Amino acid sequence: MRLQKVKIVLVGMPNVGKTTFFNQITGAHFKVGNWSGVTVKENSMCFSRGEVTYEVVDLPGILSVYDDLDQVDYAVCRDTMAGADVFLNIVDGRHVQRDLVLSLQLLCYQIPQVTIVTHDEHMATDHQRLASAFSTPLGLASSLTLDQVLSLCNQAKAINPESLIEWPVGLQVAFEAMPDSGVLDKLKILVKQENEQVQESYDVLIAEGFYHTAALLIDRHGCRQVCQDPFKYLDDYVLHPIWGVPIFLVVMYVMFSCTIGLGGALGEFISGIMQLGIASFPGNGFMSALISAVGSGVATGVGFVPILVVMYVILGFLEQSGYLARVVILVDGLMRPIGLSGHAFIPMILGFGCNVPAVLATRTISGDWQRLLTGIMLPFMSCSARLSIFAIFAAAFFPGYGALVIMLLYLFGVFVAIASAYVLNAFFGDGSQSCLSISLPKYQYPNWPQLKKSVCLKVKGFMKRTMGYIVFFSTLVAILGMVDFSLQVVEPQFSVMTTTGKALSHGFAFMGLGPENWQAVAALLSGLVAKEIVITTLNTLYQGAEALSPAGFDVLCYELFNRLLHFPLQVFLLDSMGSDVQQIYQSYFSVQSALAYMVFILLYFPCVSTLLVFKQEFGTAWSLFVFGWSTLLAVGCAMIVYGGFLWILGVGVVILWCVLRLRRRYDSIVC
Amino acid sequence: MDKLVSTLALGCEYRIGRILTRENKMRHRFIALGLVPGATLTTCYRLFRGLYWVVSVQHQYVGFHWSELQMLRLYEIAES
Repeated sequence: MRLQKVKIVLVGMPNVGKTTFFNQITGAHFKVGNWSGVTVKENSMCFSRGEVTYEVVDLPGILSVYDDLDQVDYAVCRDTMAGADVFLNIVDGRHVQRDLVLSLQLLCYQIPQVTIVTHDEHMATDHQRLASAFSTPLGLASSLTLDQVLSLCNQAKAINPESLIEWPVGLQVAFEAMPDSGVLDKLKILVKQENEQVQESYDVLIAEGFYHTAALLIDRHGCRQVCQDPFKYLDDYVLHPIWGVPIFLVVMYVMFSCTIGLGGALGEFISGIMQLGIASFPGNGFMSALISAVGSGVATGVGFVPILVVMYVILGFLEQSGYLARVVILVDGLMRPIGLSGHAFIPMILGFGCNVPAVLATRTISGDWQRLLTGIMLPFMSCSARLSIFAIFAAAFFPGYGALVIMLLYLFGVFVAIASAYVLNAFFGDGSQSCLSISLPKYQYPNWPQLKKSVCLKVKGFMKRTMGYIVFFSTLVAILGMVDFSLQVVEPQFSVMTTTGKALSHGFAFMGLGPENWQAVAALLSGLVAKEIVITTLNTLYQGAEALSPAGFDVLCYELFNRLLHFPLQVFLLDSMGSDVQQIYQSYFSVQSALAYMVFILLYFPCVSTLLVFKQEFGTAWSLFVFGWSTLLAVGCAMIVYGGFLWILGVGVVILWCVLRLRRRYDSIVC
Repeated sequence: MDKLVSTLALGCEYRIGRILTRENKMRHRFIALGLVPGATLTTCYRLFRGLYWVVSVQHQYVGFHWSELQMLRLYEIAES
């Protein structure tokens, strides 16, 4: 007996709800969002029913099947679509006529097709009339299960496009003059040709054929949509010529404030409770020191979780609401001088969560150079792992202004990214300009269960990835802090860690780190693997040197209550706890060296995972370039920051130069 | 008769006459977004002194830089 394999491919315009439907029928948890380009690679799952194995494949959105848009995600789509057995054509009920154009194009593949309508509550027609318009089996997404979808797929048949599509006369003549081949092949040839005979080019004639037929079908079957957008008024504010940009800045500020204010308070409480538990562990000696070091590292790691949860919830809310697509227009002017469009800003915002998905998100950007340039900018976007470092330093050195300092660091990261892209574009750029033209999705309420699942998965992934590193590095750091090069247990000042750290620390004097603060240098090196472990390494090393007495439970509860009570009003206060850990930080760093250290961490080499994804997307040479470039900039900027007044002068000159440059460019475009 | 326009006004409806650019990438992007000859677009939002426009076409909002809209020949639809 031989098993039969059926490949079902989900195809549709961008942002019609393909991945949401895929998650619904397969039980998967792939990322969804309310903007074009959330899915950038194919996702698939297999199911068996009797002797048949069904492979369901989710693809990135595609605008048309015959043109030559040069995006990486489009190439992925076309390769997979060619090998499909059945198309699940996903159509958005809010703009059926537009999506029907792609449905008609899919007929040209001569592959059986099933139509699935998402957001069907916006349709003013019955099921049968809709099915007649599409000429395929049809289902409404909200009520379908996997088995119902498979049953629809079994009913599907290939339809001859010639029987449905009404081509303009000029195109019919061209078809007849061509050798006998499939309609799709003919379209792909004609779309690149000039038309000498008639007034319009072939690409326009082809488009006319599809759009005209779609309009006819919709009229004939009475499938007019009744979509009323209840949130339409939001655009009056969000896209306001004056208030648009300030609203965006406020949204970003609220995101960081809530993350630090609310997440930070809960994180410190949880971390404090764990420290209390570790302190109560009896014993004295090697094992006790080891348990204390590892426990302290784990407690610090767990303390990040509330910060991440708050950040992921807010980012998820922005992604699902439809606001991010509006931001693309607001920031386009900022990206245009470097040859990019506002589209490049979406990966940058995703980079605030984690750089790895952000690098993958560059696949939606058209143009090889523009895509690479966006990728090079991403490591400067401060990811959530760096946020945990900034939170501790900001609390210790900038009480009362913590969130403001952190937001300024984020903005500085964006500034360095744009400035470095400007320089690279000037030297290596091909002079081309990305186009903006972006489809703006309708606003929608976030899907809370989906958001909850997505946040849980991200936090789980963070814990899984980070805890392994934390346990390993805390153990390693603790052991290296107790033995010498001949692996004999010695006094801490003669250990491998201390000797090596002191030797290396001379190279970091440019940002105020000397042999007396060698622990900070050792922590930077551990950050090569993952940024999350910088702060745990620091805590482990500092606490090995100082005897700490964690705050009591009553103090922790009081401080948590106090911070939560003041939260909405004083979200910017980060002078929490006054804990021993923060006092230790203050004893090792000056304010200037702490700021230089934060800037260095913001900019220096990306973590191993980011570099590996970067290598996969852009090749080894460019990943090595990013490694060197970011480190070079980190050294330069940390040096300037530690240099004091020189910094103010330098930044002032750069800002002035950029403003003048942007102004000139702006004026030339307006003229 | 519809009137050919070179500047846009907010809240007005225009008919697309031709796609003026010969660059394939831009032409295909326009077509895929529904900006085909004969289609109508309505200007909905204007940002940064007219540098950016949000227009409604085929029941959806699309954001453009002004330089991209200049690649379309637009006619102001005459009131009947």
